[in-house]
Amino acid sequence: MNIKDLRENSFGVQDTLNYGILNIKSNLTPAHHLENQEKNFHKLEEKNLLSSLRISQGLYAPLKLQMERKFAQKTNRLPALQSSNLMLSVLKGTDETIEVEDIFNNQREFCENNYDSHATTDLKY
Amino acid sequence: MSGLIKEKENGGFSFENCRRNNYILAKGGFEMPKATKTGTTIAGIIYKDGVILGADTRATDGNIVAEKNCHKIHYIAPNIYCCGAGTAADTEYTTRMIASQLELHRLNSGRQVRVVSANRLLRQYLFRYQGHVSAALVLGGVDINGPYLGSIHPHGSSDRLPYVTMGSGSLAAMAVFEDRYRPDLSEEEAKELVADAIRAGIFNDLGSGSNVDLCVITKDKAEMIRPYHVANEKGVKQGNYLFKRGTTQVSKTLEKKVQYDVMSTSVREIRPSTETMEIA
Repeated sequence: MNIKDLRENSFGVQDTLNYGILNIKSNLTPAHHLENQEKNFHKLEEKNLLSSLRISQGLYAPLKLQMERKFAQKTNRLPALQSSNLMLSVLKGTDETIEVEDIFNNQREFCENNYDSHATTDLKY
Repeated sequence: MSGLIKEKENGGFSFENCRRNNYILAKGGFEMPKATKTGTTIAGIIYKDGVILGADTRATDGNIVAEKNCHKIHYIAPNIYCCGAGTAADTEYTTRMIASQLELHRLNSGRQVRVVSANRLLRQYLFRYQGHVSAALVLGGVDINGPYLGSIHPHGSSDRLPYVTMGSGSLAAMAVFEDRYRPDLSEEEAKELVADAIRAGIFNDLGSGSNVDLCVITKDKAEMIRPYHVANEKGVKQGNYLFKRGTTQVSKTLEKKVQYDVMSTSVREIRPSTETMEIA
């Protein structure tokens, strides 16, 4: 388990107010065997692409692409406000495709999550 | 998970209810609702000028016929059509998504869509979900490389063949094909052969029924014939079951005037609505 997954507060115990009751089992065992696969799908795809570019075109190609993607992810918005990630989607090519993410459970459409701006900003800074 | 700070969700399939569902099923006494399946007979054949796809039109929901005239031959591109068996929603949404992706691809490349592209997109999508998207497809079309017919199974494997059948009635339809298929059939012979295969599925399989739909795809055009043959006509009621006027004897009538006062009058102009509904 990653050190980032530990939702600890300053006392070193689970931060129940912000993250809910501690349930380690739910973090370790997936509810559905596709759950982890889906979470890592795009990351793995990108990794495969970059490693094949490394082999065929040398170190420069994946390095430059990763650099551009890192720049595109540096959107300086407040944690509760989401960026449209337009530059990132142009770099990835997803502005010209229709993926599963655009049809099922599209976060930009009928998104009912109400991110608490105070709590998330508090956490980040 | 249920605190003030929520993690940002990504799109696509959501697995948040799976844990709860597993717990409920393990506890017992509750059955998951069944998805509407198409319990189908779908078939395709390559003939002299192109491809003919055929399908029945029944959708089942367990033992009940959910839809007597459902649409199983889906549009993918002007020169590519796809029949779908399995869970009705899965086939519908999968084919629509692939059709959208192919249209964008066609606009980007400027060329006619090739059937192998549709095949690859469908295969990769179905393999990604390891068979949980239960869509068994018969994909057919004509492109620059000639006629193409193939079947795609829910786990992501595909076969390219001169004649294919899928669905619960596939064995009945395949029996007809194995007996009478010849390469280079004429259009009329090929249409009759596919219709016979679908009818074999309709009459011998409970999951298939109603009518036979056909789709004839050639180099120049694709023609949907819906229905090609109404194999099962619903019976017409022989009698009128409405009661005649006067069947119930009226013993007493009482008329009363309802007292009302006019409070206010207003005159309003009826104008056609100029506001369009906002799509969220």
